[in-house]
Amino acid sequence: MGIIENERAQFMLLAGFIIAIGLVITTVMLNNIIFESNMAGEAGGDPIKYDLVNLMSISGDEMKSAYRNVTAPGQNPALKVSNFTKQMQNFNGNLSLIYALHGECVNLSWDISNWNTTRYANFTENGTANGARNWTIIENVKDSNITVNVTTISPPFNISINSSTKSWQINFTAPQNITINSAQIIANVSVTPYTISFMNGANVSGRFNITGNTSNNKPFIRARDHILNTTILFSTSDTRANITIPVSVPW
Amino acid sequence: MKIKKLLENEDAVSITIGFILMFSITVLVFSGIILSFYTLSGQSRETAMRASFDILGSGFAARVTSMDILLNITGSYGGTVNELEYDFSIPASIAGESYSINITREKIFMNAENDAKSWIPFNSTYIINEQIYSNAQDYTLWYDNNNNTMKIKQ
Amino acid sequence: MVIVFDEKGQMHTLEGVAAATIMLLVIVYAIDATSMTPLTSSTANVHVETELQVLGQDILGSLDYAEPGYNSNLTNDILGWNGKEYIWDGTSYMEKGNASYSQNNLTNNLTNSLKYTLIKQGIAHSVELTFLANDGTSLVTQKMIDNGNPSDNAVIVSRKIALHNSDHPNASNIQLTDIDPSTDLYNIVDVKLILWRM
Repeated sequence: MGIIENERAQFMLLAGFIIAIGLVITTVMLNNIIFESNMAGEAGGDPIKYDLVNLMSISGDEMKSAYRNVTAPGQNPALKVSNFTKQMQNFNGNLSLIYALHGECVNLSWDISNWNTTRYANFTENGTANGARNWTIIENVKDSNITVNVTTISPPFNISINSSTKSWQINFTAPQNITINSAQIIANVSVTPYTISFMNGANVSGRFNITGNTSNNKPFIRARDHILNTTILFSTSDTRANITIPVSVPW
Repeated sequence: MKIKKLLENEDAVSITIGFILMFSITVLVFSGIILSFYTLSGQSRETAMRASFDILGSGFAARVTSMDILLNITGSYGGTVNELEYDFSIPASIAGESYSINITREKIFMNAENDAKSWIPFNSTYIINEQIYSNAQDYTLWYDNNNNTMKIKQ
Repeated sequence: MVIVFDEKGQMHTLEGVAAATIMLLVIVYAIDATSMTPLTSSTANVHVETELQVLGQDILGSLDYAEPGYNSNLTNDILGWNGKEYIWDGTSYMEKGNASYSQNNLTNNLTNSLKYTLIKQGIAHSVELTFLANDGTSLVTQKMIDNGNPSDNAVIVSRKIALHNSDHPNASNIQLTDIDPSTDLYNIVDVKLILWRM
């Protein structure tokens, strides 16, 4: 009876309750603050750019492969464009299926006007008129055969072959078609390995084909006829991209 | 003077006034304690907001940087980007406050109304100069190939 | 009447009111404070996932480099694969279910790369290939390396590879067929590398 009717120390009790609640709240808030700074932000990597770059390289490679197949010796030249288009269309259809697995919609289109009008590529690094005009095609060459067919030229343009001791320039002043074999190169530069470069190729167009072996006895091929363009349409739920890239064919 | 009388003197003592005084002092002290909790939480709110800004800003910087990388890769192939768009959304408020993001070529600057600010170091080869507010949550980062700039629209 | 005009217990009432007000203030403050911070998963997960993703993309990217005239290392691996599943047993990738013969192990550019990168860091991984089936519309998934079920923080990185008839794919992998006999295109393969930390 004495305990139940005792009205003393009410504020002390209340104060105790408030301090307890305050402590609990402060602890909970501290916990939340620690969680807040561990919040998962959108700081993850962005996988879209890898897919898009992969798409660019795989489309370019397929165009090169299709071009090589239809222009290989023994193929019917009259059917080359239709066969090329057929291979690219099949590739486009199947590629869309594979990319659809990742929730990405892909569509390729290609522009072969340079090929149809036999407009040859420039002798720059990427084949377009504003690519690097002086560039090295290949280094550490042991033996090689060079075939160059220049169709339009605005001199000076030369092919420069440099070894550690000597340097040989093959100058072009007018459109011409020349073939240089390994023996001629060795006669002019004396030692191997040597480096083959194109100088001032910006306003010069034509085709070239260089095959041979490097100093490690590994065969190589560098060739270019035309520059074809491919346009890639890529879209996901939150990205849309439309990119046109030049593709150097056949290699 | 009688010492005993001094110690146990109950003249002019009113129980009610004593009670009122005790009561009001206690209420004042406890209110003071609770209000100080508010100040503490305000400060920690700012710290938490700053941490959130850092994370959000880094994510945003990563996104803009990857668009920058894509543009540069296409340029290195000699190609052209006709269209490139990224949709993204930012939370409408962080810790109950809305905020704004200001992007330039050298930095990303985020600030909220209660003065929590954050700078994210950043570098872009393409021109970008935008300010967005968090209330409209959905934005699109797009590349304007006519002006060679990256822009943000809603 | 007695209740209404009774002047006793005024301080008692006031005490009650003050106590109620203080409790109310405390509750309002508590609710206001907890709305400030959300509870979500920690960034430690995001950092680990980002790191794994970058590592995986670098591995696949470096294997997929091809110079003119050659196929990339990754393409050669897929062309030469015999279609069987392999498991890491501590020293090499042994054929699943047939590990008794020590020569039934998988050794190619991909495994060499994985031994120096993922195995050394103790990152578990699986390699899956997805490609088109013979009917041209459905997809087939095969595992090249299978190390069990991934954890929650697993990351998938992928790379697409086009195979051609002129590459002469390994005929012992019977599920990887030519989906387009009229052209040189053989199939398109999606190589998926799944990484997770144990």
